[in-house]
Amino acid sequence: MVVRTKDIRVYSHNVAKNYLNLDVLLETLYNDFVIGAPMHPEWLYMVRPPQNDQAPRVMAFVSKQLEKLRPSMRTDLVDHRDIFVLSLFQGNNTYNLMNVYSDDDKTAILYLRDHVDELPSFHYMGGDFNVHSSVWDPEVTHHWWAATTLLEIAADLDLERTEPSNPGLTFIFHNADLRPSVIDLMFHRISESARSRTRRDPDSKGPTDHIPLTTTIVLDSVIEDVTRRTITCGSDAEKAFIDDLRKGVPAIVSGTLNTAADIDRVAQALADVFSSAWDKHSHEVCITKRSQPWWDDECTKFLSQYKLEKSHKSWLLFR
Amino acid sequence: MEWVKQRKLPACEAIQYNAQPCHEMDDLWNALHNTHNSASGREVDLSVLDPLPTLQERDWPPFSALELTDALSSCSSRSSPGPDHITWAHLKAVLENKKSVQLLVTLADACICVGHWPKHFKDSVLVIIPKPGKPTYSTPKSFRPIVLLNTVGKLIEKMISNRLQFDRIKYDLVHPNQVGVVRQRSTEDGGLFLTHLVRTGWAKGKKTSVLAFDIAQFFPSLNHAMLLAILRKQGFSSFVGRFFASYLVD
Repeated sequence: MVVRTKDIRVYSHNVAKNYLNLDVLLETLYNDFVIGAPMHPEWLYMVRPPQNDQAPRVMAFVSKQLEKLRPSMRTDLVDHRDIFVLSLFQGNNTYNLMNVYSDDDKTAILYLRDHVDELPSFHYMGGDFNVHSSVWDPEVTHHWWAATTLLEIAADLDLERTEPSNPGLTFIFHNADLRPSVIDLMFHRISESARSRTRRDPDSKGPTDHIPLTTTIVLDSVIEDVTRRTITCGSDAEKAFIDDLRKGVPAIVSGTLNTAADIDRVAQALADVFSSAWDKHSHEVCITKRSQPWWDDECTKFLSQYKLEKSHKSWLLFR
Repeated sequence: MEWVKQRKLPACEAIQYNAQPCHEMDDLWNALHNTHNSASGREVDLSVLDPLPTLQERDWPPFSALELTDALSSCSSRSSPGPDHITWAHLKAVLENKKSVQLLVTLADACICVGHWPKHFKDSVLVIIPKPGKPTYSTPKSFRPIVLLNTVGKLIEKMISNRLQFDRIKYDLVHPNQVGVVRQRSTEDGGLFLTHLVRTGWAKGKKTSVLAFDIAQFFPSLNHAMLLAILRKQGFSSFVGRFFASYLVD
C-alpha cells in the first residue's frame, strides 16, 4: 500500500530490553498484515554497534516506506551509546531526529550539554530522560539543574517541549508501592505546536514499565512516489513497440555521410524513432517493495484472500 | 551455531569519503567519481613506447553486413538496455530487415571514416550496485558502478572490437604473457604456463614461489594518450586513431 503523505510518525518507547515486546510492536505498528518476524522485513533497524563492551541503549526502526528519504544513522554527529541521531533527506531539506536515553547519572544530558554547539538544529528529540521536574510533573515540587540543563539544550537545538494532548504519567513501577512519574518527554521545533499530534498511548504499554508516546513530524513537502516508465516483457505493448521500431528504423534516409553533422543527424533520427516508440507504448509504474517481476495480479488476489481467511489452504495457494 | 553470532548491521550509515559522510547527491557523485577515476587525466611520459617497433599502417576495409549480424548474434537478449530502453532482443527484431542492417553498416563506416562518435551513443545510465558480502557499506569501494550504454552504439563498438581482436591475433600484437581478454587464450593457458615454470624450476632442483600483483582500477586508469599512441605504433589505420580520439572525449 503506497500512501502519499507529508507526515512522519514517531513512536517513542522505552521497551526495557524486552525483545518479545519489541517484536510484537513491529508487527502491530506496520499498517498492513505482514508475514515474518525477528528481523522485520518492513523495518530498517539502525543501531550503533557495541564499543568497548558497552552495548547501545537506544536504537531506531525506520519504516521501509521512508527509504526514499535516505534515512541515515549519524554517528558523525553524535557517537554515544545513549544518543541516536537519525537524518532524513528531502530535496535540500535535512530533518534531524534524536532519540535519547538518559541514565541515573544523566550521562546523555551531560554529553549533550558539552557538545550542543557542534550540533545542527533538530526537528525532534524524544526519549526516556529520567528527569523529574515540576514543569512536566505536577506531583514534583522542584525544578533542578538536570531539568534546566535539558531545556537549555533543547532551546539550543531550536526545540521546545511538547505536552501530550492527554498529559499524564509515563513511568509506572512494576512495584505498585513506588510513586509513578513523568520522565518520557518529546520536543518539537519551537512554535510548531505539535500538541494535538502528540499523545501518550497507555494501551500499548505491554509488559514494560514505560508508557509509549506517539507524535508526527510534518515535512515541508509530500513524499513523492518513485516512478518510472516501463514496457512489460512479452506484453502486447512490447509487440506494438517492436512493430513501430521495425517500421521506423528502415524509413530513416541515411544519404551520404561525409561529415560529423551527417552522422549526428542519422544517430539523432535513430534516437527519435526509439524515444517516440517508447513514449507511445510505455506506461508509468511506481517502484515499491512489490516491484519484482514475478509479482503479478494473481499474487495480489491470493494474498488478499489469505488475509481474509487466514487458512492454511489459502496460504498454500498464495505460495 | 550460526544464529547466535552478532548480526551484521544493514546499510544505515552514509558513505564516507575522506572521513566525511556524503549526504548530498553531489557529494556522493564526487566520492564515486574520484574513487574510480583517480588516475584519469594524469600526465604520462610517452617515451616508454620508444623501444617498441612501429608497424606499417594497415588498411581498414568497410564493414560487411555479416560482421554486424555476427556481432549481434553473440549478444544476450537478457541484458539490461541503456537510456533508450532498446534491449538486444528489440534490436535483433529490428535488424531482421536488410534496410536497417544497411543503415547501421553505413553509419558504422561513416563513424570510422569521419572519426566521429555521436553523442547519442555516449549517453549512458550509471547503476550503482552494492557488492555482496561486504562487512561495511560506508565506503564507495563496497559498490560497483555499472554503465549501461545505448545498444546501437554498443553494437558498432562490438564490430570494431572484433576487428581489433582479429588484428591482434593475426599480427601478434599482444604480449605472449597476456592471456586475459584475448581471443584464443584462456585462463587455462595461464595456469599451464605457470605450472610449467614451477616444474621447470623443480627439475633444476630450485625452489619456486609465486608473487602475485593486482593493479587496482586498471581499466578506468588507462591513459587515453597512451592508448592512442599504442594504436598508432601497432599499425592500426589512422582512421581508427582519429575515431578513438573522438570516442574517448566526453
